[in-house]
Amino acid sequence: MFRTQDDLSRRIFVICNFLMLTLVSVIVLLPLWNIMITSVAQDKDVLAGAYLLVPKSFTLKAYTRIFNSGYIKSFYNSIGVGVIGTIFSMAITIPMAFSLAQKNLVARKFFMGFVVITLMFDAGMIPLYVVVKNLHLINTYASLVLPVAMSSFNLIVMKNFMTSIPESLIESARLDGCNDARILISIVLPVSIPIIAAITLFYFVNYWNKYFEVVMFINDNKKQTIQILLRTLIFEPDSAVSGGEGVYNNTKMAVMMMGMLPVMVLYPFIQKYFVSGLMLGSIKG
Amino acid sequence: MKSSSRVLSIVMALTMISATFAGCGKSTAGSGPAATATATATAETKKEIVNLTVCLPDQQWGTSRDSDLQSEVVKTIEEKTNTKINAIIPPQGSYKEKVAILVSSGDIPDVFRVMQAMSLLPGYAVRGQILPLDEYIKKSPVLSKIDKSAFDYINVDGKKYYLPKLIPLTKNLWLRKDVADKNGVNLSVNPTTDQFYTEMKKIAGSGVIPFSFPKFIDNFRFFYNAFGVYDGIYQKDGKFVDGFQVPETKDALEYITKLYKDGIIDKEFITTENAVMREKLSNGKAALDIDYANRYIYYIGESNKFKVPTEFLPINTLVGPKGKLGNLNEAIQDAYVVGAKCKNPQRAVDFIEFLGYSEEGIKLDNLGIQGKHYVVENGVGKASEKASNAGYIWNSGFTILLPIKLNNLGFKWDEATEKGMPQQVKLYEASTKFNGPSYANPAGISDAFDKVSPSIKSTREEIATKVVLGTLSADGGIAEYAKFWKSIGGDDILKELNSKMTTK
Amino acid sequence: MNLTSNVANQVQLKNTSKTAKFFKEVRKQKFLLLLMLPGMIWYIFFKYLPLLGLSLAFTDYGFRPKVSFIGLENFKRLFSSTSFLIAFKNTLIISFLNIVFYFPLPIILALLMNELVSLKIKRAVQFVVYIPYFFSWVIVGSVFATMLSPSSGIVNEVIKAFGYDPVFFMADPRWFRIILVGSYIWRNVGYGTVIYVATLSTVDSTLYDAATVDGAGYWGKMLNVTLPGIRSTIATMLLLNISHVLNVFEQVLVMYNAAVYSVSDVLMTYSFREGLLNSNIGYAISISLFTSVISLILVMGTNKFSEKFLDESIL
Repeated sequence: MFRTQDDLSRRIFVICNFLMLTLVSVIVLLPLWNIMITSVAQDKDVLAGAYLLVPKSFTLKAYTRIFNSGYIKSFYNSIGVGVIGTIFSMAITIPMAFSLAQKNLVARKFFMGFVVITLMFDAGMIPLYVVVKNLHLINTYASLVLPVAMSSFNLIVMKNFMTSIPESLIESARLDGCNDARILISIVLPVSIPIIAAITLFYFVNYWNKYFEVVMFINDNKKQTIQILLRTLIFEPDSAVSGGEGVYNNTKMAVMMMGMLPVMVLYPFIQKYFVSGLMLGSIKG
Repeated sequence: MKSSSRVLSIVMALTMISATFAGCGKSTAGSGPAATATATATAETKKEIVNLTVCLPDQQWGTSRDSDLQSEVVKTIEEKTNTKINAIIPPQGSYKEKVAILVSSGDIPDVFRVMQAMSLLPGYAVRGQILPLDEYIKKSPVLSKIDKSAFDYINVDGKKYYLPKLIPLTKNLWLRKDVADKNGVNLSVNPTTDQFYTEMKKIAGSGVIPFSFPKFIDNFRFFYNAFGVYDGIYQKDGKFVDGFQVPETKDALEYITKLYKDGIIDKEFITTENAVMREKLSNGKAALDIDYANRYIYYIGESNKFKVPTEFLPINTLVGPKGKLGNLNEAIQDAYVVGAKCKNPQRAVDFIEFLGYSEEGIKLDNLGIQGKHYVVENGVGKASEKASNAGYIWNSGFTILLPIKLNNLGFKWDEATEKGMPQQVKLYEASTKFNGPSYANPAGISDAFDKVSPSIKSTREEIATKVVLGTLSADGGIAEYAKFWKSIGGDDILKELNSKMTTK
Repeated sequence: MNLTSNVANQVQLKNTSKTAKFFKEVRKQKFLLLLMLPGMIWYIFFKYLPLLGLSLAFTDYGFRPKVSFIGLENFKRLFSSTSFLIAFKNTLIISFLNIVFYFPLPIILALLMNELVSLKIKRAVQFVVYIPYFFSWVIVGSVFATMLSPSSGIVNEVIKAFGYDPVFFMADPRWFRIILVGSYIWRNVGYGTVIYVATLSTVDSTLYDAATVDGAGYWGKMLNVTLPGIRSTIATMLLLNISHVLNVFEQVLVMYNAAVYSVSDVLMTYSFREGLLNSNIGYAISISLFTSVISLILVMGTNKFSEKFLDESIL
């Protein structure tokens, strides 16, 4: 934990740093821990919102219930939309970010303005619905990907990263005779792997968590995603006669866990790509 | 007018142009508006297959949310009504929003259901978004038998714009007999407000929540009625008044505050969902809740599931100090309507008649398909596992509220339900004795009112909540509401409502 | 004759040079512009086409059977409506609190993580902190409501253990905004951290060596190498956050209740209620337009500020 050259004040700092980050992690983890142990608890232990801090029982019944239910399709839908959507989004974001990052781009100010305006101006759901409807995309999986494919936020973050790539690298490549295409592929992309990994994750989580768009564009129950299921389970709203039948907390929590699972599984693989930044700082310390 | 239609046509033209360039979307079958329909209204068209776009929440198509089962139900309905249905099945919790988007963007479904009809329906009618159904109702032997009073509540130029889905509901307070006996609580079906307070106080502090209440402030009307207060804009003796601004409101609010302060109403009601409230009553954590009058059977079953069975006693109404009483004042809560863009209104009405007014359709709607949603073993019906795994509701409560009587379900319910059904019917009929007058939102009369009516509702609920929680005193709350009323020009709005009403 | 034709040539060159230069550049950068094409097409279809709908802000679309142009009436109504003004005030306050309290945290966290020695621990902390972002607001809202419950929530258990009365946070107008900001921080801090961590990799490693040679310790390196190195990212993130902070919607929608409307009703929830659900689409769009203009002013202002004081134009 310490380095040999550390003096006392530094060691105190490291300890405090470590404690604080641990505290932050615990605060963050506590609700997650509760969700996890509730999802594997037996029915009788989760009655009427009992808040579990210590695991009381263990059963995978809630998960098997979900796998056997008609809801499992929405889980696969979410995965499909997430994967395809992320690939598509990255395919249109990376090239545009690269071009915008080139300081000598013709009409750069215009293009930047073009993008920035969309950050702030939004006409809301109805005009978007009308456009999607006229493109005949209503009730298609495409409607869950296309209208939300590009995020100006992510685009600008990526562009910003690419502009901070040291000029020297690119200049020397140009002197060697590389054209723009080779510069993109052999220099910019490899160096940008941290931000590409980060933005890929962002896009995927974004697709995964979409709710209103699914309600708006999808009519067919078969194409619904897991967020619809989650909301139904949590709110179980009342109307005239029909209301929810008692779905116990453990099933709710199990659905929440499944709602997080793919992202949690994906994350460790992606993390090693954008953590290289953390390495630089420490090695030189 | 010219400039706006030009703008809209530019928007439309551009999207049309882009549509021809795009053409990359795959539509599911029948996703466009009626493609092959022919719009003749003679009796022979009953045989011809017609396209209908139907929007109903996901709990309606056989009550199970399993998409396979729902498709089966859609197929069956198509066969029985000779239609090709483009089914729009939004989740129940976002049904309101989905319909709002569909209707506002002009993509109005041919048939859809309006929940909270008393607030929303008049608006649809006035905006020309739904069709009047008088001629079709007259032609149908079944529909023409519907009691005229069902259509009186929502009056837009005297025409009938909807078909009710259920007969109007009442709510009861459901009391657990075991907790009541344990604490010596003795309440009739219509106790006075003082009796209610005194008896329920006995349970406070015993570890059981005396009154589990949900976060929906409309339920306060159960108390308002005891003081002769209706907290909305309504017609009193022919003139529109704001029911919240009468002197009795103060008494009503102070009563509810007392209930809250002295631990009778659940301290956390403002964050309690209906489902949680029900669960608390079912498993014994609470003694009382407020729920629809056809829930008797439901609670018997649920309390059994939680291994704490007991009898449930209803309280139909509270009687106030001046002898006033009443139950929910909702007019029509739930109705079917036909969208204005429908090319086959006759077939749309036929569809509604099938689903809502025929034994076969009602069974499909509420029970699903025998063999798929439920199975019959030895004459007793049981929910299938596939259906149960996706929110299937196996409950006899729906049979009480139907507009027609069901002759033959084709099975018997389980023992506990069969035993309890007569009691459920009796309790329900008894509860209807105490219904208060029914009001609908006076939408479509005055522009000024329609624009601000959601804010009037939310402000009123906010102030009532603050008073009950103790943040504001009753006088303070009433003063704040009066300030709000003035800021929106409330008195002028009333004047406009009254003048426009007399010219109708 | 040569002189005059030379002058004529030169004049000709000057006149055509601007446009000729432009097209020459375009041809030279064919590849770059081609790369922009898919994105630009997307923007036109799914951002700019719907933006034409902003014109509906000047109509009463949706409210009555026939659409009519009503000019600035929607906007007049905005400014005279107490509910709107309260929503506007709440939006500004909550946005301000979000920026002030949320914005610095991911930066600090990223820098602190950078100081840890073990890479394993760094990755673990990064992972843990990012998890809440996976949850949608519906789950986060439900998690917080459970945690803060006065009867069974863990926060109040701790408060009771210290001898104080439990506080009903979710229904208390004094606490609710803090809960909104707190839950916003809980959910989003990991997200911001990821971006800064990724950017740390672009800091020129030779600068660290130079700093060591100059005798800089850990603090010196952090303040003089790391922080300036991510300065432009910080500025960009600030701008991006400001551009959408006024649009806070889903978080409030799932967490607020009647007891706290007065402190948490925001522009988008107001528009949702009195616009979309009331079928008054023209009004809803006028609120969107208003919010957009305010966002534009804030963004331009921040950009100018950054230009003047940090010598860096973000856009």
